[in-house]
Amino acid sequence: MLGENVRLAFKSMAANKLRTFLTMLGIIIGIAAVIAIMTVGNSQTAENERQNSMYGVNTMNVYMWLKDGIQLDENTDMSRYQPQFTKEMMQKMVDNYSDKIEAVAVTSWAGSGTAYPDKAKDEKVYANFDLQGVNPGYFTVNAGMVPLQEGRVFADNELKGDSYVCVVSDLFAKSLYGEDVSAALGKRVSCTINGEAGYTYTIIGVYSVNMGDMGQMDASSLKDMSTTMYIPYRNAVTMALVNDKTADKISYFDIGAVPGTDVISFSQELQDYLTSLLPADSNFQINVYNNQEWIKQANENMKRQTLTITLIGAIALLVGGIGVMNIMTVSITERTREIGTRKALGARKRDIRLQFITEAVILSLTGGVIGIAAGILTGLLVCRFVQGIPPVVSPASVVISFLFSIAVGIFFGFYPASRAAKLDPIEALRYE
Amino acid sequence: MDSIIHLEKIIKKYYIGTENELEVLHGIDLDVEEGEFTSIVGESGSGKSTLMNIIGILDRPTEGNYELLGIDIGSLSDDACAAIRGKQIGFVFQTYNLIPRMSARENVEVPLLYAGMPPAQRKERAEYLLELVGMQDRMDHSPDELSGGQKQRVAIARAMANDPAMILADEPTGALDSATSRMIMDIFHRLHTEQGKTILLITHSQNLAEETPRILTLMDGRITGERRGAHAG
Repeated sequence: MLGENVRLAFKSMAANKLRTFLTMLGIIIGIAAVIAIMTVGNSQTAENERQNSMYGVNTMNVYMWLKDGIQLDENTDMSRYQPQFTKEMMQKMVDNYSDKIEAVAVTSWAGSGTAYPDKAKDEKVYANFDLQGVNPGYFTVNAGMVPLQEGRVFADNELKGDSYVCVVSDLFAKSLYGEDVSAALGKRVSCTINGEAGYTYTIIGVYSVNMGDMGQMDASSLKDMSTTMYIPYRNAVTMALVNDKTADKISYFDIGAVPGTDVISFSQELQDYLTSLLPADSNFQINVYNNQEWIKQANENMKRQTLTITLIGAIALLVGGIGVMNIMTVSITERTREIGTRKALGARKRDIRLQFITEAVILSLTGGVIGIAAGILTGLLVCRFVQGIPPVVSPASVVISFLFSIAVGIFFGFYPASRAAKLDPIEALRYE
Repeated sequence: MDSIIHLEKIIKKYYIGTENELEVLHGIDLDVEEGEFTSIVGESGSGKSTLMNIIGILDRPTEGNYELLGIDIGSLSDDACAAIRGKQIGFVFQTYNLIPRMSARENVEVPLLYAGMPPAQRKERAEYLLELVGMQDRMDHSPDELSGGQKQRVAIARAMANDPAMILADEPTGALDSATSRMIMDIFHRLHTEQGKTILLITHSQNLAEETPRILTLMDGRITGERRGAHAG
């Protein structure tokens, strides 16, 4: 009987294609909106989690900058307005929070350049790089972003500024020394930095570049791509001081908190502590950020957006459901004689009711399935081309939408179907 | 022979308890025996539609007793009535009342469906019945692809679906030309003589009634006469 009813429902829908489509539209739009936003939301959350694990859940960024409202002009003595964390401040901080701070990362950008194997004749073998001076703590704090693949990081005796050692990317190593990156360890590279030739560094470590951030690249642009070459912090500062007298001042650093630390409250605590180390009349303020806070914020925003669009979807579904109810009422009126005939042929009330509820369910379920397909497609397109993140379809949202469409059909089909079931067969047979 | 239909003092009133109260049937007594071909003749307004609705269990009498195959219909629930109607009464209507969007075969299958017959048997039975009325070549046509006579033949096949105790035909040729009417009447005669079907023909046409062995005349809600048809075979 149910199979028969389903077949009849499709026939009756096919008999009035335009009407059927218009009726389903509300449900299609409602379901599609919900599925699309859930797909985008899911993908965004997954992406946030991926970035979270890459940048490190325990990473905090500490900035010092000028207080709002301080006006500078050309007569200002700029040296008094250069934000700088002093060695003493940083040491005090590390000592004070030795139970919570795992490592501190300081960086100094020193330019860019091109590296060749030492004493190479072949101009075609090269690697481009951006040059950054870092302390050993940098690799601890950023273990997720620049995971060490081969070799080691800088030793204590290499930090004085007279050791020309470097840590390069796997891409860099492959460009110069072939697929086996361990072959690069101990090799000397000749570098042209900021247009000046004659620098020589020894490779002591190789880290893996995270290709996830770079999307698809062809072989030639991959070869020309610049990756970061890390050298000891002091070496980079010496180089940078040539052009920038303030290159040795630290206005920014990162902290890797001990795993398990409540990073959000620790950031606030640290911000207050560092601010207290500044003189009362200081021109500077200190801010401590962490990406947990940012991710929490982003997830909350996403939840709010999802809820908003889900509400819009729910309204569309309600309107769609009323549309189903309306069209079922029309359809039942049109088929009054058929109902009378069926009753004369032995249909009980529940047979008639089941027939029309089935029809309403098939109608809204078909709309729901089209909506699910449209929603997934929209979600995938938005992820791919608007957000630029890998799409993740939520199976739960598909199952829920499927069940919800059935529920809409039953709910909004019940009243018209019951009316049909209660029709007086004599009246119905006489209906013109 | 056993009585298939036993009506005793059937009274039908409308608008009960209002000042427009109207008594349409004034105490009908009627017995129809198995294998009879009976016609009920009456002008419009004589109450024959009301009587047919009561016999067809589409309506209940206000007073009186109706037994179909010995079952007291008055004591049954609506759903039980629907079940008896579907299995024991085969309706043939003036306006055919085939269900649109369903093929001839599917239409014949409807009473079998409500009686709970499995699909394969339904199909076989429907095909047999359509052959019986000469519609074997148009089984997959939908009603709007059939002529009036063809539709009525499908309707007769449908009425026969559950091998009912009685076929109740309400002006079955009312919408057909005389040649087609002849063909439909021939089918009824054949079902009567060859299959031994009990048939109740309700008509205002004296000519058609004369073909049946038993004619009941209904006038103003009373059966006023009973005789044998002049041209009964």
